[in-house]
Amino acid sequence: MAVSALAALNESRLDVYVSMFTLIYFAATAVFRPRRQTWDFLALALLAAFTYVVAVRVLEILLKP
Amino acid sequence: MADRNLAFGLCLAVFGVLFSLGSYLALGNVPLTALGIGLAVLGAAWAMTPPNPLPRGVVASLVKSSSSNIEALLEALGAFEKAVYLPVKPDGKVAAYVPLKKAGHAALSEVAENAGKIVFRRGGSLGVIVAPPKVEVGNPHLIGESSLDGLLEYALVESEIASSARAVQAEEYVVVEVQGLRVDVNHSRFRGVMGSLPACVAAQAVAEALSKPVQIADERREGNRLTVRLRVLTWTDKAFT
Repeated sequence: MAVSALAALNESRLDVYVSMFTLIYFAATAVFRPRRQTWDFLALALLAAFTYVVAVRVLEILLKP
Repeated sequence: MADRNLAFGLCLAVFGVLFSLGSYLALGNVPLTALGIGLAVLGAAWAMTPPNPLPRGVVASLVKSSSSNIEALLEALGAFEKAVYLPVKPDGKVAAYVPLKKAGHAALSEVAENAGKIVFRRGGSLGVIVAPPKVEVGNPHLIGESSLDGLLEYALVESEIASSARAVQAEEYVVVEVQGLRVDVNHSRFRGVMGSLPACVAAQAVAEALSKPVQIADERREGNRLTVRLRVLTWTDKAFT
């Protein structure tokens, strides 16, 4: 749903999609609290990706001439 | 297939990764790439979900019925001394040793070695080894001193016995603060010997995490909050047998 909504808006930045996935994942996990068989490495991976995306954006703003 | 969720989830995740790589490298299409990443995330989440998650309340009812059986046993034996929670190697499960006659003729390590049996007798020391109500559903991963809070969280919160739990270790005591109690039992003998249900589960978690015998020193309840003080014992201790 997120992909189709963003695609309908002609969004072409991959980091926006990844950020949306991260937000949706954490929101769904907080609401439904699913049981896990292992450590939630997926949350860690998404958080790392989100942090990277945000860091790149912040650096872009800071280093803008 | 032993775990359908794992197999299906992994297949979906692999398909998602390949799909996103193909879309990005061959087509250069961002929405399709994102769709692939989304499928990979969904597959990974699916793979991590246990195949038979227990319905809410089932764990609590199992633990309660288990407590009733222990209450009957303790009542029949006339036990009144506080139990010692012993982590038993190699599986790391915790057994509760309930002394019936104390003579100090055996170390706690000797009791732990006899954990498969019910009655323990050494010299004048006599006691029974019972399996305490234990929460053990899914998530059987690492146990270590650093994971004490995590283990408590898992044992008490995931099982819906309480809403939060945290521990503070000070010398030979571990103080556990449990909040938002949801499940407890009213069996008087059980409470006297094994402690309240949350305290019993907390003692097991601490014994398992520290790999040391643990006894409930005291517990204090204030409304919906319970503070349990656990005494960490040594394996050579003979005062409790």
